[in-house]
Amino acid sequence: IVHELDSAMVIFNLNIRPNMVICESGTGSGAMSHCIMRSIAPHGKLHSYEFNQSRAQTAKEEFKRNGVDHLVQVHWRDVCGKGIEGEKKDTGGKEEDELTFGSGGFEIGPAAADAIFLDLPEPWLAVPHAAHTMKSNGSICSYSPCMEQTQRTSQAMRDCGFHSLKTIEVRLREHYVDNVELDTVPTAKIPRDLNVNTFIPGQEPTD
Amino acid sequence: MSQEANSTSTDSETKNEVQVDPFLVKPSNHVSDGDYVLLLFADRRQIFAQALSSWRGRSPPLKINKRSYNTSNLIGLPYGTVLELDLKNGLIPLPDGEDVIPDQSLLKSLEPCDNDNRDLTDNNKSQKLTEEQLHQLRDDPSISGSAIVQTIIQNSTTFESKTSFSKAKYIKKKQIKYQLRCRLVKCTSSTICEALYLKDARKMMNLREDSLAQILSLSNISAGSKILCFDTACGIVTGACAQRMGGYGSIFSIYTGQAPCFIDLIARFNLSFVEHSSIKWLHSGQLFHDDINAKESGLDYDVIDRNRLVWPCSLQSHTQIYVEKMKDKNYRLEFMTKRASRFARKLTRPSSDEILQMLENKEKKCDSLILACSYDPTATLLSLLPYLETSCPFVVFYEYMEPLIECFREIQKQGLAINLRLTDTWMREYQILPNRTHPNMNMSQNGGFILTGVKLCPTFGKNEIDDEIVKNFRKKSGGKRGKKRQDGSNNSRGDGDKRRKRGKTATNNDEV
Repeated sequence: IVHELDSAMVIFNLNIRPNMVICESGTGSGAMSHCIMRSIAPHGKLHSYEFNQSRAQTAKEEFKRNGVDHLVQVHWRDVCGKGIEGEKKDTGGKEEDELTFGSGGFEIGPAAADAIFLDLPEPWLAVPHAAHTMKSNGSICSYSPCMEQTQRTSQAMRDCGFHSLKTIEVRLREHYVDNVELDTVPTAKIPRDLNVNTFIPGQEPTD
Repeated sequence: MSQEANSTSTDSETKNEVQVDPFLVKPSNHVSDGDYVLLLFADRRQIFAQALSSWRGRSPPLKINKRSYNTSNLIGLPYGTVLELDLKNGLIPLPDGEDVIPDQSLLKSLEPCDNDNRDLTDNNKSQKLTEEQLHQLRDDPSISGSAIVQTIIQNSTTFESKTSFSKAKYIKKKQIKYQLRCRLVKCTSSTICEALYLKDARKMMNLREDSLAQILSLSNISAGSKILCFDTACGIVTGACAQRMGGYGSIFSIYTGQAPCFIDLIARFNLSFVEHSSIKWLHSGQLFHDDINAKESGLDYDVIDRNRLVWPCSLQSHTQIYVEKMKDKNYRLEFMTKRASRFARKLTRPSSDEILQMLENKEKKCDSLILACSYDPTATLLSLLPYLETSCPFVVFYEYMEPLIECFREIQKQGLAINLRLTDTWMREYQILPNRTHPNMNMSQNGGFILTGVKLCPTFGKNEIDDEIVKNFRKKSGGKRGKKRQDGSNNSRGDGDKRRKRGKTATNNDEV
């Protein structure tokens, strides 16, 4: 899942506007998809790719339930190209809802996407496909938790001809606000009784 | 997000085609005449330029390093082109494949060597060329920048003994000085925000791009929203909203002073006519009255003036004579086109009273409220909250945290909103190069603070969870997490941990 601050940064830097065509892989929980769809309404299109069949199916149903399925198309596809094309599994669902597995690339033709967002374990494999599908001067964004993935992806992007690379890390700090009353230090001294024995080390206690 | 009744795109037919509203203009990939562009230099400077084919005044519009250059050759170039700065001829576009750091081949041919800097003494004597010789080379127009760099490298005694990374750094430094290149970049909200933040953060109320990104995301802007925005951060929030909404919906932006003074910055966004007209300017005096009851009765003179205009409108006699005297047909056409567009603007511009009526429309209040002003946040927010629809978000941005703390406490006390959050962000950029990955040397410390919340209904809204309602809800949905208990009770733990009920723990898990 992509958290709110990260999704805000991604959408801002990818310069997503109404009526754009965006590609996103993988769909995952669909949180990022909803954020993107909010920004590309009313006539934009989000192509969302997920290589896990059940997740792809769930996402498709969820988008329909939320009333946004005119803005999105879910593909059951491995954009990195590591699966076998044409694999069909029995979904047990309705005929028209069945998705066919595809492998490699984004399938929407060359120079079709305004921006591409990758949230994959091996994004460097998808970068050449992204370069092919991207319109001229489009933006790409890859979201990775590890530095090694980031390094490989940056190198892949440079090799494929992307320019002006920027790598950022953002963190949110939430502040908790409460009213605290500050007292000054109490000035009362401990009362000392004159008849009480005082203990001085090294001497016999006086009685 | 409502379904458009007239959207007829089906999945199989129009997978790639997008049904575009004919009213909207798609952002172009090439620079047009009059567009603002951003030039990103190799030494990290960012300069705005306007691509003009003709300009008023003597000096050409673009100023770099105290010299002025012509920008008409930028028109028609695709965004992303790399330009080289030639001292005589200005910015020259380079063919595809060139990068802002020139001569990548020079860098790649550096063999990895085992050198380190143990024998290096820094006594400023390692360059054999004198300063006069260098100046001569630079002013000679026949010698290219790359030739100068080569000469300098050849005349450096310590170059060969450097490490390969050090050599690359040296070459890059010399190239920035003698072979300055820049990239032509489109002006979008993220690039403009970054450029302005680098130039003068104080003018922008320290609005860093991640804070701006958060403002846009938290306020739930999308096409068709009605937004009330009070922006004194140079107008960048208004411009970014206009771009994000693409012309659909409206932005009511409040200004103080005689006239909206951020027109200059908003022009940099290269907004289309529709996007520009979605911004409606409101004077602060119309919303913040000293005396609320005094209503300015009387006629709306702007509307009367506008109703008097008729189009097509014949030319006045002196204008007719002026036009007939023009010899150049193109010039005449340009004049008439400008006149027509002036009329178009006058006829379509709503008057300030009309804008106020649009805002105060009782049937549809604003979908979100954004404050990024340098005035007292608490007072401003309290006076503008009535214009916001219930259950809609508001976002208050401020440079410093203390006023937002006051605001937080006040809203909490009056019970006007729920889900109040006071946050700030930490952003760090990295340099990712093979064997040289590290965070950047400089990191900005202050990007401003954001207070956000969701407005409660003034009559029914409550900020506490009503136990009765929760019990009924749980009975219906079958207990916590949907599991029905056999004895019918809904207690899982009893009243053990009282702190969680009062919301005082750091991890406040939702119990509903």
